[in-house]
Amino acid sequence: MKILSDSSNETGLAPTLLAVGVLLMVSVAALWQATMGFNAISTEDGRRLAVARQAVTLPAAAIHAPQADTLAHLLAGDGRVALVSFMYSRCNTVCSVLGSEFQQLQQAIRQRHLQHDVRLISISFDAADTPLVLTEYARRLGADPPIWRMVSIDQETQRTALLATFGVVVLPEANGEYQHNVAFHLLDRQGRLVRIMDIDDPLTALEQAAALAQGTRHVAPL
Amino acid sequence: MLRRCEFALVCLLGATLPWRWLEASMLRHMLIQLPLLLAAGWCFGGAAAPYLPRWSGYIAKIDQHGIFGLTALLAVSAYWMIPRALELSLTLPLIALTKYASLLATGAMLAGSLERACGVIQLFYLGNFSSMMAIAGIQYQNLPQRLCNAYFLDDQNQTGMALVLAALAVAAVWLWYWAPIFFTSNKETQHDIPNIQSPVHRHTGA
Repeated sequence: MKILSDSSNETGLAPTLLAVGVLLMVSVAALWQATMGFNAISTEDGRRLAVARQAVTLPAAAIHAPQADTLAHLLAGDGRVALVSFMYSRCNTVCSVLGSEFQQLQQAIRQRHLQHDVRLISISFDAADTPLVLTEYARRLGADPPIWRMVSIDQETQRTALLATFGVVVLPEANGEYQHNVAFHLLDRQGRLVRIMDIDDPLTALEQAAALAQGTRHVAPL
Repeated sequence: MLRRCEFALVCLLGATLPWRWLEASMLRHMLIQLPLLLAAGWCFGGAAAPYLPRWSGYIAKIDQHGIFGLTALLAVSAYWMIPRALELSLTLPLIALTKYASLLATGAMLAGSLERACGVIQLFYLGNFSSMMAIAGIQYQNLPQRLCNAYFLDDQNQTGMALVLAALAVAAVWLWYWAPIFFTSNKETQHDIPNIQSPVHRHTGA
Protein backbone atom coordinates (compact mmCIF):
# COMPACT_ATOMS: atom_id res chain seq x y z
CA MET A 1 0.00 0.00 0.00
CA LYS A 2 1.71 3.13 -1.14
CA ILE A 3 0.43 6.61 -0.58
CA LEU A 4 2.37 8.05 -3.48
CA SER A 5 3.34 6.13 -6.58
CA ASP A 6 6.93 5.37 -7.39
CA SER A 7 8.30 6.82 -10.58
CA SER A 8 9.80 3.64 -11.96
CA ASN A 9 7.76 2.20 -14.80
CA GLU A 10 8.54 -0.78 -16.93
CA THR A 11 6.38 0.48 -19.76
CA GLY A 12 5.52 4.10 -20.39
CA LEU A 13 2.19 5.64 -19.63
CA ALA A 14 1.28 5.89 -23.31
CA PRO A 15 -0.87 2.73 -23.58
CA THR A 16 -2.76 3.71 -20.45
CA LEU A 17 -3.34 7.29 -21.54
CA LEU A 18 -4.51 6.10 -24.94
CA ALA A 19 -6.88 3.59 -23.40
CA VAL A 20 -8.26 6.17 -20.97
CA GLY A 21 -8.71 8.61 -23.84
CA VAL A 22 -10.74 6.07 -25.80
CA LEU A 23 -12.72 5.22 -22.66
CA LEU A 24 -13.56 8.87 -22.06
CA MET A 25 -14.73 9.35 -25.63
CA VAL A 26 -16.93 6.25 -25.44
CA SER A 27 -18.29 7.37 -22.05
CA VAL A 28 -19.17 10.86 -23.25
CA ALA A 29 -20.89 9.38 -26.30
CA ALA A 30 -22.84 6.98 -24.10
CA LEU A 31 -23.85 9.75 -21.70
CA TRP A 32 -24.87 11.88 -24.68
CA GLN A 33 -27.05 9.03 -25.90
CA ALA A 34 -28.60 8.37 -22.51
CA THR A 35 -29.53 12.00 -21.93
CA MET A 36 -30.59 12.78 -25.52
CA GLY A 37 -27.81 15.27 -25.97
CA PHE A 38 -27.51 16.23 -22.27
CA ASN A 39 -31.11 17.45 -22.37
CA ALA A 40 -33.07 14.89 -20.43
CA ILE A 41 -32.26 12.94 -17.30
CA SER A 42 -35.71 11.67 -16.40
CA THR A 43 -37.68 9.31 -18.57
CA GLU A 44 -40.56 11.79 -18.75
CA ASP A 45 -38.35 14.60 -20.06
CA GLY A 46 -36.96 12.14 -22.60
CA ARG A 47 -40.45 11.18 -23.71
CA ARG A 48 -41.52 14.80 -24.17
CA LEU A 49 -38.35 15.72 -26.00
CA ALA A 50 -38.65 12.74 -28.35
CA VAL A 51 -42.21 13.71 -29.29
CA ALA A 52 -41.24 17.34 -29.79
CA ARG A 53 -38.49 16.23 -32.17
CA GLN A 54 -40.54 13.70 -34.09
CA ALA A 55 -44.32 13.39 -34.34
CA VAL A 56 -45.70 9.98 -33.41
CA THR A 57 -48.41 8.13 -35.31
CA LEU A 58 -50.87 6.36 -33.05
CA PRO A 59 -51.65 2.66 -33.38
CA ALA A 60 -55.13 1.45 -34.27
CA ALA A 61 -57.45 1.27 -31.30
CA ALA A 62 -61.11 0.35 -31.03
CA ILE A 63 -62.78 2.63 -28.56
CA HIS A 64 -66.03 3.27 -26.86
CA ALA A 65 -66.85 6.95 -26.83
CA PRO A 66 -69.40 5.82 -25.65
CA GLN A 67 -70.47 4.19 -28.92
CA ALA A 68 -68.19 1.68 -30.59
CA ASP A 69 -65.73 3.47 -32.83
CA THR A 70 -62.03 3.61 -33.58
CA LEU A 71 -59.64 6.21 -32.24
CA ALA A 72 -58.40 7.02 -35.71
CA HIS A 73 -61.93 7.59 -36.92
CA LEU A 74 -62.78 9.71 -33.93
CA LEU A 75 -59.76 11.90 -34.58
CA ALA A 76 -59.48 11.95 -38.35
CA GLY A 77 -63.13 12.38 -39.23
CA ASP A 78 -63.06 15.50 -37.15
CA GLY A 79 -60.11 17.55 -38.33
CA ARG A 80 -59.71 19.40 -35.07
CA VAL A 81 -56.59 19.60 -32.97
CA ALA A 82 -56.97 17.52 -29.78
CA LEU A 83 -55.73 17.75 -26.21
CA VAL A 84 -55.62 14.23 -24.80
CA SER A 85 -55.04 12.98 -21.30
CA PHE A 86 -55.06 9.55 -19.71
CA MET A 87 -57.03 9.00 -16.54
CA TYR A 88 -59.32 6.61 -14.69
CA SER A 89 -62.64 7.50 -13.12
CA ARG A 90 -61.97 6.08 -9.67
CA CYS A 91 -59.00 8.37 -9.18
CA ASN A 92 -58.80 10.44 -6.03
CA THR A 93 -55.41 11.94 -6.60
CA VAL A 94 -53.81 13.49 -9.64
CA CYS A 95 -56.50 12.60 -12.18
CA SER A 96 -59.14 14.42 -10.17
CA VAL A 97 -57.00 17.54 -10.56
CA LEU A 98 -56.90 16.67 -14.25
CA GLY A 99 -60.69 16.47 -14.29
CA SER A 100 -61.07 19.99 -12.98
CA GLU A 101 -58.39 21.25 -15.36
CA PHE A 102 -60.30 19.79 -18.28
CA GLN A 103 -63.42 21.54 -17.01
CA GLN A 104 -61.39 24.73 -16.98
CA LEU A 105 -60.21 24.06 -20.52
CA GLN A 106 -63.73 23.34 -21.73
CA GLN A 107 -64.87 26.64 -20.29
CA ALA A 108 -61.95 28.47 -21.92
CA ILE A 109 -62.65 26.84 -25.29
CA ARG A 110 -66.23 28.05 -25.13
CA GLN A 111 -65.23 31.54 -24.05
CA ARG A 112 -62.66 31.91 -26.80
CA HIS A 113 -64.85 30.26 -29.42
CA LEU A 114 -62.27 27.58 -30.19
CA GLN A 115 -64.85 24.80 -30.51
CA HIS A 116 -64.14 24.39 -34.21
CA ASP A 117 -60.39 24.17 -33.70
CA VAL A 118 -59.71 22.38 -30.45
CA ARG A 119 -61.30 19.39 -28.76
CA LEU A 120 -60.63 17.54 -25.52
CA ILE A 121 -60.36 13.78 -25.12
CA SER A 122 -59.97 11.86 -21.85
CA ILE A 123 -58.84 8.27 -22.38
CA SER A 124 -59.33 5.82 -19.55
CA PHE A 125 -56.74 3.08 -19.10
CA ASP A 126 -58.75 1.31 -16.41
CA ALA A 127 -60.47 -1.88 -17.54
CA ALA A 128 -63.14 -1.16 -14.95
CA ASP A 129 -64.19 2.00 -16.78
CA THR A 130 -66.95 0.57 -18.94
CA PRO A 131 -68.82 2.87 -21.35
CA LEU A 132 -71.61 3.08 -18.78
CA VAL A 133 -69.25 4.17 -16.01
CA LEU A 134 -67.64 6.74 -18.28
CA THR A 135 -70.95 8.17 -19.40
CA GLU A 136 -71.89 8.72 -15.76
CA TYR A 137 -68.45 10.17 -14.98
CA ALA A 138 -68.69 12.51 -17.96
CA ARG A 139 -72.10 13.65 -16.87
CA ARG A 140 -70.81 14.28 -13.36
CA LEU A 141 -68.00 16.46 -14.61
CA GLY A 142 -70.25 18.31 -17.04
CA ALA A 143 -68.36 17.17 -20.11
CA ASP A 144 -69.97 18.58 -23.26
CA PRO A 145 -69.61 15.82 -25.91
CA PRO A 146 -69.00 18.11 -28.91
CA ILE A 147 -66.03 19.59 -27.04
CA TRP A 148 -64.95 16.96 -24.48
CA ARG A 149 -65.20 13.21 -25.06
CA MET A 150 -64.44 10.45 -22.60
CA VAL A 151 -63.14 7.30 -24.19
CA SER A 152 -62.31 3.78 -23.09
CA ILE A 153 -60.42 1.07 -24.96
CA ASP A 154 -61.88 -2.42 -24.78
CA GLN A 155 -59.09 -4.69 -25.88
CA GLU A 156 -56.21 -5.11 -23.48
CA THR A 157 -53.63 -5.50 -26.26
CA GLN A 158 -54.74 -2.32 -28.00
CA ARG A 159 -54.82 -0.47 -24.71
CA THR A 160 -51.27 -1.59 -23.89
CA ALA A 161 -50.08 -0.65 -27.37
CA LEU A 162 -51.65 2.78 -27.16
CA LEU A 163 -50.18 3.46 -23.73
CA ALA A 164 -46.78 2.29 -24.95
CA THR A 165 -46.93 4.57 -28.00
CA PHE A 166 -47.85 7.53 -25.85
CA GLY A 167 -45.21 6.54 -23.30
CA VAL A 168 -47.65 6.41 -20.42
CA VAL A 169 -46.63 3.91 -17.73
CA VAL A 170 -49.34 2.79 -15.33
CA LEU A 171 -48.28 1.39 -11.95
CA PRO A 172 -50.93 -0.33 -9.86
CA GLU A 173 -50.72 0.60 -6.19
CA ALA A 174 -51.60 -1.57 -3.23
CA ASN A 175 -54.78 0.35 -2.47
CA GLY A 176 -56.27 -0.23 -5.92
CA GLU A 177 -55.24 3.16 -7.22
CA TYR A 178 -52.77 3.78 -10.00
CA GLN A 179 -49.66 5.93 -10.18
CA HIS A 180 -48.93 7.11 -13.70
CA ASN A 181 -47.22 9.94 -15.52
CA VAL A 182 -49.75 12.66 -16.31
CA ALA A 183 -49.55 15.21 -19.10
CA PHE A 184 -51.48 17.01 -21.80
CA HIS A 185 -50.86 15.32 -25.14
CA LEU A 186 -51.38 17.50 -28.18
CA LEU A 187 -52.55 15.76 -31.35
CA ASP A 188 -52.48 17.60 -34.66
CA ARG A 189 -55.29 17.66 -37.22
CA GLN A 190 -54.04 14.37 -38.66
CA GLY A 191 -54.21 12.67 -35.28
CA ARG A 192 -50.46 12.45 -34.72
CA LEU A 193 -48.93 13.11 -31.33
CA VAL A 194 -46.85 16.25 -31.73
CA ARG A 195 -46.29 17.64 -28.25
CA ILE A 196 -46.52 16.71 -24.59
CA MET A 197 -47.11 19.45 -22.05
CA ASP A 198 -47.16 19.74 -18.29
CA ILE A 199 -50.48 19.72 -16.47
CA ASP A 200 -49.29 22.55 -14.23
CA ASP A 201 -50.46 25.12 -16.73
CA PRO A 202 -53.62 24.13 -18.63
CA LEU A 203 -54.18 27.52 -20.23
CA THR A 204 -50.70 27.55 -21.74
CA ALA A 205 -51.46 24.11 -23.15
CA LEU A 206 -54.60 25.54 -24.68
CA GLU A 207 -52.53 28.36 -26.17
CA GLN A 208 -50.27 25.79 -27.81
CA ALA A 209 -53.27 23.88 -29.13
CA ALA A 210 -54.85 27.04 -30.51
CA ALA A 211 -51.57 28.10 -32.11
CA LEU A 212 -51.20 24.70 -33.77
CA ALA A 213 -54.78 24.93 -35.01
CA GLN A 214 -54.17 28.45 -36.35
CA GLY A 215 -50.97 27.42 -38.03
CA THR A 216 -52.59 24.52 -39.80
CA ARG A 217 -55.96 26.10 -40.44
CA HIS A 218 -55.66 25.98 -44.24
CA VAL A 219 -54.23 22.48 -44.38
CA ALA A 220 -56.94 19.99 -45.26
CA PRO A 221 -57.03 16.98 -42.94
CA LEU A 222 -56.02 13.69 -44.58
CA MET B 1 -9.60 -19.62 -6.34
CA LEU B 2 -12.53 -21.96 -6.10
CA ARG B 3 -14.03 -20.03 -3.20
CA ARG B 4 -13.75 -16.83 -5.19
CA CYS B 5 -15.42 -18.44 -8.14
CA GLU B 6 -18.21 -19.77 -5.95
CA PHE B 7 -18.76 -16.36 -4.41
CA ALA B 8 -18.76 -14.77 -7.84
CA LEU B 9 -21.33 -17.27 -9.03
CA VAL B 10 -23.51 -16.62 -6.01
CA CYS B 11 -23.37 -12.88 -6.70
CA LEU B 12 -24.14 -13.38 -10.37
CA LEU B 13 -27.05 -15.70 -9.72
CA GLY B 14 -28.30 -13.38 -7.01
CA ALA B 15 -28.32 -10.55 -9.49
CA THR B 16 -29.86 -12.39 -12.41
CA LEU B 17 -32.26 -15.10 -11.23
CA PRO B 18 -34.65 -12.84 -9.27
CA TRP B 19 -34.30 -10.11 -11.86
CA ARG B 20 -38.02 -9.42 -12.03
CA TRP B 21 -38.20 -8.82 -8.31
CA LEU B 22 -34.99 -6.78 -8.28
CA GLU B 23 -35.98 -4.60 -11.20
CA ALA B 24 -39.48 -3.96 -9.82
CA SER B 25 -38.08 -1.43 -7.35
CA MET B 26 -35.59 1.37 -8.02
CA LEU B 27 -33.91 0.74 -4.67
CA ARG B 28 -33.37 -2.96 -5.30
CA HIS B 29 -32.39 -2.39 -8.93
CA MET B 30 -29.79 0.28 -8.28
CA LEU B 31 -28.46 -0.76 -4.90
CA ILE B 32 -28.74 -4.54 -4.90
CA GLN B 33 -28.58 -5.75 -8.49
CA LEU B 34 -25.95 -3.34 -9.77
CA PRO B 35 -23.53 -3.80 -6.83
CA LEU B 36 -24.02 -7.58 -7.03
CA LEU B 37 -23.01 -7.50 -10.69
CA LEU B 38 -19.97 -5.42 -9.82
CA ALA B 39 -19.05 -7.86 -7.04
CA ALA B 40 -19.52 -10.83 -9.34
CA GLY B 41 -17.21 -9.20 -11.88
CA TRP B 42 -14.66 -8.47 -9.15
CA CYS B 43 -14.55 -12.08 -7.97
CA PHE B 44 -14.51 -13.56 -11.46
CA GLY B 45 -11.69 -11.21 -12.38
CA GLY B 46 -9.71 -12.13 -9.30
CA ALA B 47 -10.30 -15.84 -9.82
CA ALA B 48 -9.41 -15.83 -13.50
CA ALA B 49 -6.34 -13.58 -13.34
CA PRO B 50 -3.75 -16.25 -12.38
CA TYR B 51 -4.98 -18.43 -15.25
CA LEU B 52 -4.73 -15.73 -17.88
CA PRO B 53 -1.25 -14.25 -17.45
CA ARG B 54 -1.05 -12.76 -20.95
CA TRP B 55 -4.43 -11.12 -20.66
CA SER B 56 -3.49 -9.81 -17.21
CA GLY B 57 -0.32 -8.41 -18.74
CA TYR B 58 -2.25 -6.46 -21.37
CA ILE B 59 -4.63 -5.12 -18.78
CA ALA B 60 -1.73 -4.07 -16.55
CA LYS B 61 -0.23 -2.19 -19.49
CA ILE B 62 -3.33 -0.09 -20.14
CA ASP B 63 -4.20 0.19 -16.48
CA GLN B 64 -1.05 1.74 -15.06
CA HIS B 65 -1.70 3.13 -11.61
CA GLY B 66 -5.22 1.81 -11.89
CA ILE B 67 -6.30 4.82 -13.92
CA PHE B 68 -8.23 2.94 -16.61
CA GLY B 69 -10.22 0.70 -14.29
CA LEU B 70 -11.08 3.50 -11.88
CA THR B 71 -12.12 5.82 -14.71
CA ALA B 72 -14.31 2.98 -15.97
CA LEU B 73 -15.87 2.74 -12.50
CA LEU B 74 -16.75 6.44 -12.54
CA ALA B 75 -18.10 6.31 -16.09
CA VAL B 76 -20.18 3.18 -15.62
CA SER B 77 -21.65 4.24 -12.28
CA ALA B 78 -22.46 7.72 -13.61
CA TYR B 79 -24.25 6.18 -16.58
CA TRP B 80 -26.42 3.81 -14.57
CA MET B 81 -27.36 6.52 -12.12
CA ILE B 82 -29.06 8.42 -14.94
CA PRO B 83 -32.74 7.56 -14.37
CA ARG B 84 -33.57 7.45 -18.07
CA ALA B 85 -30.75 4.98 -18.74
CA LEU B 86 -31.76 2.73 -15.86
CA GLU B 87 -35.36 2.70 -17.03
CA LEU B 88 -34.36 1.93 -20.62
CA SER B 89 -32.60 -1.18 -19.32
CA LEU B 90 -36.03 -2.40 -18.22
CA THR B 91 -37.55 -2.24 -21.67
CA LEU B 92 -34.75 -2.53 -24.24
CA PRO B 93 -32.85 -5.86 -24.26
CA LEU B 94 -29.77 -4.25 -25.79
CA ILE B 95 -29.49 -1.76 -22.95
CA ALA B 96 -30.04 -4.55 -20.42
CA LEU B 97 -27.21 -6.51 -22.00
CA THR B 98 -25.00 -3.43 -21.87
CA LYS B 99 -25.82 -3.11 -18.18
CA TYR B 100 -24.70 -6.65 -17.38
CA ALA B 101 -21.61 -6.48 -19.60
CA SER B 102 -20.43 -3.07 -18.40
CA LEU B 103 -20.79 -3.86 -14.71
CA LEU B 104 -19.18 -7.30 -14.95
CA ALA B 105 -16.28 -5.94 -16.98
CA THR B 106 -15.73 -2.98 -14.65
CA GLY B 107 -15.88 -5.25 -11.63
CA ALA B 108 -13.36 -7.63 -13.19
CA MET B 109 -10.87 -4.81 -13.62
CA LEU B 110 -11.56 -3.10 -10.34
CA ALA B 111 -9.60 -5.35 -7.99
CA GLY B 112 -6.49 -5.06 -10.12
CA SER B 113 -6.93 -1.32 -10.55
CA LEU B 114 -7.17 -0.69 -6.82
CA GLU B 115 -4.08 -2.78 -6.30
CA ARG B 116 -2.14 -0.82 -8.89
CA ALA B 117 -3.37 2.54 -7.66
CA CYS B 118 -1.48 4.32 -4.92
CA GLY B 119 -3.29 6.05 -2.05
CA VAL B 120 -3.58 9.44 -3.69
CA ILE B 121 -5.07 8.03 -6.87
CA GLN B 122 -7.47 5.84 -4.91
CA LEU B 123 -8.53 8.85 -2.89
CA PHE B 124 -9.15 10.90 -6.02
CA TYR B 125 -11.26 8.32 -7.78
CA LEU B 126 -13.10 6.87 -4.82
CA GLY B 127 -13.67 10.36 -3.46
CA ASN B 128 -15.28 11.34 -6.77
CA PHE B 129 -17.28 8.12 -6.84
CA SER B 130 -18.54 8.60 -3.32
CA SER B 131 -19.46 12.26 -3.76
CA MET B 132 -21.19 11.52 -7.08
CA MET B 133 -23.39 8.95 -5.34
CA ALA B 134 -24.08 11.33 -2.45
CA ILE B 135 -25.07 14.19 -4.75
CA ALA B 136 -27.28 11.91 -6.84
CA GLY B 137 -28.83 10.61 -3.64
CA ILE B 138 -29.62 14.10 -2.40
CA GLN B 139 -31.13 15.04 -5.76
CA TYR B 140 -33.30 11.93 -5.85
CA GLN B 141 -34.73 12.90 -2.48
CA ASN B 142 -35.23 16.56 -3.32
CA LEU B 143 -36.89 16.39 -6.71
CA PRO B 144 -40.68 16.41 -6.46
CA GLN B 145 -41.27 14.74 -9.80
CA ARG B 146 -40.67 11.09 -10.58
CA LEU B 147 -37.46 10.57 -12.48
CA CYS B 148 -38.45 7.12 -13.70
CA ASN B 149 -41.99 6.49 -14.94
CA ALA B 150 -41.69 2.86 -13.90
CA TYR B 151 -40.97 3.54 -10.22
CA PHE B 152 -42.95 5.13 -7.42
CA LEU B 153 -41.98 8.43 -5.82
CA ASP B 154 -41.51 6.80 -2.41
CA ASP B 155 -39.14 4.37 -4.05
CA GLN B 156 -37.19 7.29 -5.47
CA ASN B 157 -36.91 8.90 -2.04
CA GLN B 158 -35.70 5.70 -0.44
CA THR B 159 -33.18 5.16 -3.21
CA GLY B 160 -31.87 8.67 -2.61
CA MET B 161 -31.34 7.97 1.08
CA ALA B 162 -29.72 4.65 0.33
CA LEU B 163 -27.35 6.25 -2.19
CA VAL B 164 -26.16 8.71 0.44
CA LEU B 165 -25.62 5.82 2.88
CA ALA B 166 -23.74 3.87 0.21
CA ALA B 167 -21.52 6.89 -0.43
CA LEU B 168 -20.70 7.10 3.27
CA ALA B 169 -20.09 3.35 3.37
CA VAL B 170 -17.56 3.51 0.52
CA ALA B 171 -15.75 6.32 2.32
CA ALA B 172 -15.82 4.43 5.61
CA VAL B 173 -14.47 1.21 4.11
CA TRP B 174 -11.65 3.06 2.37
CA LEU B 175 -10.67 4.87 5.58
CA TRP B 176 -10.80 1.65 7.57
CA TYR B 177 -8.53 -0.04 5.01
CA TRP B 178 -6.05 2.80 5.11
CA ALA B 179 -6.28 3.43 8.87
CA PRO B 180 -3.15 1.39 9.71
CA ILE B 181 -1.01 3.62 7.54
CA PHE B 182 -2.54 6.79 8.90
CA PHE B 183 -1.83 5.77 12.46
CA THR B 184 1.79 4.73 12.03
CA SER B 185 4.53 7.26 12.64
CA ASN B 186 5.77 9.53 9.82
CA LYS B 187 9.01 7.62 9.35
CA GLU B 188 7.14 4.55 8.25
CA THR B 189 4.70 6.10 5.77
CA GLN B 190 6.61 5.06 2.70
CA HIS B 191 7.03 1.49 3.88
CA ASP B 192 5.40 -1.20 1.89
CA ILE B 193 2.73 -2.73 4.09
CA PRO B 194 1.86 -6.25 2.86
CA ASN B 195 -1.07 -6.02 0.57
CA ILE B 196 -3.78 -8.27 1.97
CA GLN B 197 -4.91 -9.25 -1.51
CA SER B 198 -1.63 -10.55 -2.84
CA PRO B 199 0.74 -12.61 -0.74
CA VAL B 200 3.78 -11.36 -2.62
CA HIS B 201 5.73 -8.39 -1.30
CA ARG B 202 6.36 -5.71 -3.83
CA HIS B 203 9.81 -4.29 -3.25
CA THR B 204 10.07 -0.69 -4.25
CA GLY B 205 13.79 -0.60 -3.74
CA ALA B 206 13.34 2.73 -1.96
